[in-house]
Amino acid sequence: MLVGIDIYPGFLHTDTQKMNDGVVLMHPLAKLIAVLCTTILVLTYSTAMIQGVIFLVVVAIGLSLGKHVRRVFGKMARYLLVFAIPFFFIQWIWLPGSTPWFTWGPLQVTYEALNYAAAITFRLMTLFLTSAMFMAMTEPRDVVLMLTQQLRVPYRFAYAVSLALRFLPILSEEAETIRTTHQIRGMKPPRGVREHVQAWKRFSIALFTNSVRRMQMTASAMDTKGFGAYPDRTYWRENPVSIFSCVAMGVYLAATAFCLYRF
Amino acid sequence: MSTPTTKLQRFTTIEIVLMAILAMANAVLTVFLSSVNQFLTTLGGPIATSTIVGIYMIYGVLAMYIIRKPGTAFITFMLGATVQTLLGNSYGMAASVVAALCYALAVELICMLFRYRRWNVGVMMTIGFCAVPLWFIFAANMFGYLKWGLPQLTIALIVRCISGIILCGWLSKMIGDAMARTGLLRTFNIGRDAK
Repeated sequence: MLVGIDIYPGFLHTDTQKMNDGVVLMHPLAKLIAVLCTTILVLTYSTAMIQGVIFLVVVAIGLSLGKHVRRVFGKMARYLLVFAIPFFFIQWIWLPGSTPWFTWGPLQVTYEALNYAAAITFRLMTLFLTSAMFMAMTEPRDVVLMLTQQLRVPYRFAYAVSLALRFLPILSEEAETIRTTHQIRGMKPPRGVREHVQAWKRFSIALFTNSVRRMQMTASAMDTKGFGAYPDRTYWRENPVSIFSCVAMGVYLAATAFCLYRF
Repeated sequence: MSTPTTKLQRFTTIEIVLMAILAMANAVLTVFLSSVNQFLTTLGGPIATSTIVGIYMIYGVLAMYIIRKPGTAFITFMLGATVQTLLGNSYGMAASVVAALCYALAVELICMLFRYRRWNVGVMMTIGFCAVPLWFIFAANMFGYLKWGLPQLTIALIVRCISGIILCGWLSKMIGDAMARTGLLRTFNIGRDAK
């Protein structure tokens, strides 16, 4: 159910007051290039040592980016631990190797598996952290502007991203209303699998019907305001790439090329 | 001759809104699925997690089943990846985007093969089946499955394909038909084709 959803709290930016830290002022395109460069690096190497170093560098950069990113890092730590620790152990147990570390019944754990499991776990954590940093430091509306103004994505589709994000609280509220309505009408909490399935079916049909109505209303309102009537549109706010962001992109690309060449 | 702009104009505003809603629903679903995924990883390793792979692809296939226009899967999957990136998932931006591209390519190719005209259970199951292998190759490189060994990789791929057939192909058809029966999708191609 949508009720009470808590999607990585603190990730999504809506408050510009919080966004005055560090490199937050950098253009989203520069941040995207940084994420891509890090992704290329972590996907290139497969040893625990190099992956560990990249992970530590990302953490250090994240911690130096100001209070907001540090707060997001703190909130993310539990997600990371819950996800990464089982992933590491499962990989370690499953992966084959030739140098045994210990044997427990039919289970043999090897040094090669340890190295590779650690490398893959660091890789996943780095991919997660870089994306999270991007989210923590970027406003969704800047991403939409970047898609239309720099990446030349047709605005009808770029704005669908804003639309999707806008629908999240609306549908969450809608789900809460449906649940309350069901309670007011005297529906008892379901017991057993069959009643749970029926309750879920009733809830999802109501949610679907209301969502389609909302969808039709939104589409009509957008059409009335001339959304998509012209191939191009004007913008109340332009978001050009600053010289600082251009230099930053150059540095990221050069550093990535150097690492790929050197190591 | 149609220009790229006129091709994109083929999508009505309500179709774009539907794609956005499905992308948003997928992002929410992915957050819930990440805990299920963790549980399955702990329970049965990489093969157990493969059982729910089909659910990750359902939004794009469902959009294609309802809208039935070329490019629907591509736009919906890319929207899904962007929204997922902005809301957060456990796999990072690169995995979201690459997975979306792989799924979109497979779904569009199969639909093109059937000229966007045939939408029976067999076609939908074929779409679900074909959407799996390409991303599996990329995921194997990205998440280190390549070192598992051939038997585990083969079992995981088979389980994923079955999951794709049932949880993506078949379920999309069931959900789409149930939605069409309510009569609320009359403005979409699925509603027009049902007449």
